[in-house]
Amino acid sequence: MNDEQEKWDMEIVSTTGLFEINWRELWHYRDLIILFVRRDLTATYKQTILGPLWFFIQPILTTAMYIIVFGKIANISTGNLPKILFYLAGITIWNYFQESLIKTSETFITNQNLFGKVYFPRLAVPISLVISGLIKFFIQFALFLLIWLYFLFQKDNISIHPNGTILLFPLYMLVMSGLGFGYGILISSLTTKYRDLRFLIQFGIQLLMYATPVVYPLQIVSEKYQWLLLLNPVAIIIEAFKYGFTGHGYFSYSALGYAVLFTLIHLFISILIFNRVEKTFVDTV
Amino acid sequence: MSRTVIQIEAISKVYKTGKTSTGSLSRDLTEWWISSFQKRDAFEIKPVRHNPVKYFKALQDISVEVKQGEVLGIIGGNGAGKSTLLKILSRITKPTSGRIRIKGRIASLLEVGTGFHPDLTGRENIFLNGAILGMRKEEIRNKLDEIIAFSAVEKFIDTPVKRYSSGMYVRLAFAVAAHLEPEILIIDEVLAVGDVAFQNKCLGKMKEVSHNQGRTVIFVSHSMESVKALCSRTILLQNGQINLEGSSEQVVDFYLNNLAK
Repeated sequence: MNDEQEKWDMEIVSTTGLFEINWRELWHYRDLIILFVRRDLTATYKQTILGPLWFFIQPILTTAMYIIVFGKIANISTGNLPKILFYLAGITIWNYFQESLIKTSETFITNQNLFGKVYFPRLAVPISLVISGLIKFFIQFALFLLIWLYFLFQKDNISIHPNGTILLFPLYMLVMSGLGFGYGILISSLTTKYRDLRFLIQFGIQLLMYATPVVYPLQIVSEKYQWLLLLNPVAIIIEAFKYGFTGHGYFSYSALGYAVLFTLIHLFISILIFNRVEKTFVDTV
Repeated sequence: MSRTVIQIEAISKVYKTGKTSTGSLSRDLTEWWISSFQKRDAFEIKPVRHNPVKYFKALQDISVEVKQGEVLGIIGGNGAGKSTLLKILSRITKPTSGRIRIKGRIASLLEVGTGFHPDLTGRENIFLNGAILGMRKEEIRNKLDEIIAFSAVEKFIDTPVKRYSSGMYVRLAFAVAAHLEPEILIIDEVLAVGDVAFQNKCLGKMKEVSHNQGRTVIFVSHSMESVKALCSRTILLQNGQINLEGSSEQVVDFYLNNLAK
């Protein structure tokens, strides 16, 4: 019987190590992640007439609104950039961050029934949310590209000068995904016990948007305070994105390095906490 | 001799009763600070507490072994700890102490249609539900026809499940679960819905799975007839402890004569 001792496939005990994350199991459930993504994308627009067109309507209307409110009424400068391009760039990236964050922050609350009835690696849910967010992002990004190309090839284009840092775009998306995902699962882990955070997050994200150069360029902020805004890695990415595509914005390798490092550390901590909470959350939620 | 596939050793589960926290972050933090750094009990300095913590032992020292191909029944009144035991076995929550060791893939069916999305069609939900239960996509695709035939909802397979009757819903959900191929299947009360014909079909399927394919089933039910018909061995839980363990006939009769009155 001794040889049988080693053949147990699974052991359920009361404690697990802090770093015990079963990545292999998560990989086994990759089909589930894909199905979750498909569910998110198709179920959202079932029984709507316009269907996937909503992916475009939202950023277009938001951009129009910003042009009127911030551009015309409040008369906030957009630097040398055409207003529509400026706002669309900010909105497209910011929306992706905001949606990943809010959706993943509700992981435990919206899935408490499911999680209480069946086991699968819980990380599958926030990962699928970030992936479906990324797909929506690329649809909206295509809209941005169209408008960007329009201005780029206009005869009297003097304002838009893309440069080599445009190649860092995939890195920007990785950092944004990491940030939205990380903040989201951190909040979702904490909300199992303290629901207060749910209320905070709803307007907290609005406040954060105004502390991020989305509706105004960083350069109009007095130089004394710019560093304060740049503590926020989201601000660094948005400015770098605009710089790469248009030549207007803030870019520095050290800031970018800081944003990447911040994201990695933050992601690491968030996953540890999430992993800890997922094992007992059924009892506390 | 068939080998042991599930070994449950001295499992206990303790719940806090009352609120899980005081409901305020500052208070929780103070209590945590005091109890972990000042080595004093938080209760000491705050004699008046609106919500003293009490503990409830949902499971105490449960030890069971299950052999391959066995169908084990678990019966007991409400609150006896049946569902808690299944939740621990299914890895939904962790035991407070003890250890369980398992050989083979385990799938549990604690509720029918877990994860069904009302706006998706029956076919889409088969894939989603199957994946939630741990199946790979090819596995589901290979068995799709079989699942649809078993559920007997062919006509409506491309209709959103929110338009299904509850019977159709349950049949589809059970059909997916029945075609999982785990070595160990855990089932809780899912046969309570569906008409008699379908219930018999399910019982037949479960028998087939355990007898012919050598899989292990753990079955929790309030239906004594199903337990007698299906299970070779049964344990009776009472107040979180094993009251009796033996042949289904014997345990069910004991339960009906002594506890169910």
